[in-house]
Amino acid sequence: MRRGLSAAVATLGAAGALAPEADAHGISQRSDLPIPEWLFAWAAAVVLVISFVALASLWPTPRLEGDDWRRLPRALGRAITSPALAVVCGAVGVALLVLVIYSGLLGQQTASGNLAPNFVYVAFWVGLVPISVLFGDVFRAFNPWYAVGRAVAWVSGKVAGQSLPAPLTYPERLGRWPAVIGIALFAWLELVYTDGDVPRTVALASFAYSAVTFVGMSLYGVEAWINRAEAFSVYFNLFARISPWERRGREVGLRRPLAGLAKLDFQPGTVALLAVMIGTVTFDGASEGSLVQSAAPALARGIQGVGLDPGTAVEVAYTAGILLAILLVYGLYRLGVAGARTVGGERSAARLAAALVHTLVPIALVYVAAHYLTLLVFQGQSLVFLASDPLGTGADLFGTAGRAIDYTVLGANTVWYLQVALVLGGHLAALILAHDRALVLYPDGQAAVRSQYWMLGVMIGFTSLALWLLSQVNA
Amino acid sequence: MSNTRRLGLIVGGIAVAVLAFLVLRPTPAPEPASAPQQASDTKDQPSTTPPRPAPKPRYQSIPVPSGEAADVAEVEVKKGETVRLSFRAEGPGEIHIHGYDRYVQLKGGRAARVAFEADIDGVFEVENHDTGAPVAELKVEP
Repeated sequence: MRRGLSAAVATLGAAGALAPEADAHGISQRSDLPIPEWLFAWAAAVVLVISFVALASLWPTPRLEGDDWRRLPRALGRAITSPALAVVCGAVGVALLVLVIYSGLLGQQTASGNLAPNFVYVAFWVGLVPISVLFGDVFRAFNPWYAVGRAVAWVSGKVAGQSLPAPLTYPERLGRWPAVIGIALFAWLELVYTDGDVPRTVALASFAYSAVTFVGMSLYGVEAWINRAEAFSVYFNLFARISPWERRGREVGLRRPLAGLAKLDFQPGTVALLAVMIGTVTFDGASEGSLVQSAAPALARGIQGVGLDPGTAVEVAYTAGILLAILLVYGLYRLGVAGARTVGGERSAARLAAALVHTLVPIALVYVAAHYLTLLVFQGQSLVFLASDPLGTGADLFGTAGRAIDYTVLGANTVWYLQVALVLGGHLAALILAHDRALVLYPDGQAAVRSQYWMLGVMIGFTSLALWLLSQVNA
Repeated sequence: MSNTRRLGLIVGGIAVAVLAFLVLRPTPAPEPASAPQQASDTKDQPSTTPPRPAPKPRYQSIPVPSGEAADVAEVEVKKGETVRLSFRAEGPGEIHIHGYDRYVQLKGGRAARVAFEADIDGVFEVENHDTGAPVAELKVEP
C-alpha cells in the first residue's frame, strides 16, 4: 500500500523540483511478489471449472433464504449479551480511540514508528475484517462512537426520566450513502493523500470523524445512525453477515454461513458502497502495477501544467484513478444486472441490482483479504512493539519495544497459494449466493438458470480482475 | 439431477483442477547452468589445472543521485543468493534497505558496498534515507 504513490511522487520529483518527503514511503516495508504466470493461468482455468460445475450441480431449492437459526445454550447467550460485557468492551473501544488520537498528535511523526497509523490502517481497517467473518459483528461491541452514544442516551434518559426521542427521523432515501462517503474518504486518505499515513493526520481525521458521528447520532438517534450511516459499523457488519453467528435479543445462535447476507436489507447506496469497497482495493492493487506507474506521472505532469505543485498533481491524478476504478466496478455489476433483466422482463434494473448486491460481499472480502494478507501478517507484528512504545519516544511499557517484524513467517510461495485460494473461495461463495437468490426471484427454474449466466459473467470478471491484480508486475 | 451425478461432477471438477495444478506447476528451478558446469569442469581435469580461484563477486552498482531522483534500479536475486550492492553517491548520506533493515553509510565520491544473504523473499525498497527517494527495488524470488 502507498508504495505506488511514493514512487510516482519520486518520479515526478525528478522532472520538477520536488524533494520527496522523508516519510513518503508509508507504513509497509515489504510488498508482494506477483503471482507467477502459470499459477495465474491455472487459477483462471479453475474459475471456469468451478463456475460450470457449480451451475450444473447446485441445489434446486433455496437454502440460504430460509430461517435456520439454531439457539445456543441460553447461559452462553446471556453472558455474551450481558450489559456488563457491553460496558467493558465499549470502554476498551473508547480507550483505543483516545490512544490513537493521543499518540498521533504527540508521538513522533514517522508512519512506521507511531502506533496511530499502524493501528488504524492495519489492525482496525484490515484486521477486523477476518475477525468479523469468523466471530460476527465484534466491532459493534467495541465501537467507541456507539458506546459513547449509548452512554449519553442512558444518562440523558435518567436525567429526563424517560428515553428521549431523536430530534429528526433518519430520511429513508439517505440509506447507506453517508457510509459510502465515509468509506470513500477513508480509502482516499489511505491511498491517495500524500500525508495520509502521517500520525498527526490520522489523529486529526479520527477526531473529525468522531465529531461528525456524534452530530449524526444526536440528530438522528444512536441506533439509526450507527446501523445505516456510520461507515465502519456498516462496513464490518457486511462482513459479519458471512459468519455463522447471529444475535437475537439476548440470545445467540448459529445460522448457515453466508445466510446472514441473504437477509441484507436493501437501502439506497448499498450498490455504491460495494463498488467503493471493491474499486478502492482494485485501485490500490493496480497502482503498484506498471500500468498506473507509467500513466500516473504523465497524467500528473499534465495536471501540473495548470499550475499545481507536483505533490498535489499526483494526488489529483490518483483521485481520478480511484474514481475510475470505482466506476469500473459499478459499471461491470450494472452490466450483469442489465443482462439478467432481459431474462425476467418485468423487474426494474434498480430492483434487480438491489436483489443481487449481497453477492458482491464475498468478492469484496477476498479482494481485501488477498490484497492485504501480507500487510496484516507482517505489518500487524509492528503492533507488538508499538504497544510498548506507542509514541515512538523510546518507552518500553511491556518489554516488547525491542521486537522487530519477522518477514520469514510466510514465504512467497505460501502467500501465492493463500491468495489464489482466497480468491477462488470468494468466487464460489458469490456464485452460491447468486444461485440461491435466483431460485427465489424466478419461480421458473429455466429462467433462474438463464439469469445466472449473466451474474456468472460478472463474477468471472471480478475474479479474473482480482487474479490479474495479484499477477501484476511491480514497477 | 440426482445426487450421485452431482457428486460425480464435483469430484470430476476437483480431479481436473488437481491434475492441471500438478501438470502446470513448474518443477523446482534447476540450478543456474554455470554452477554444475563448473563442477564438472574441475572433475574432468582435476590434476592438470590448479583449482580455479573463486570468481570475484560482482557488485551491482547503484547510483544515488543527490536531490533529483532518477530511475529506480532493479535488483533481482533468488532466495539464498548473496546480494552485493555498491552505492555511488556524490556526497555523504545513508541508504536504508527495507525489510532487511540494513543501513549503508555513503562515502562521498567513493563506492559504499554492502553484501548480505537474501533470506527473506518479497519486494523491498532501497531508500535514500536523507531524501526519502527510492534508489532501487530489491526483488527476492523464492
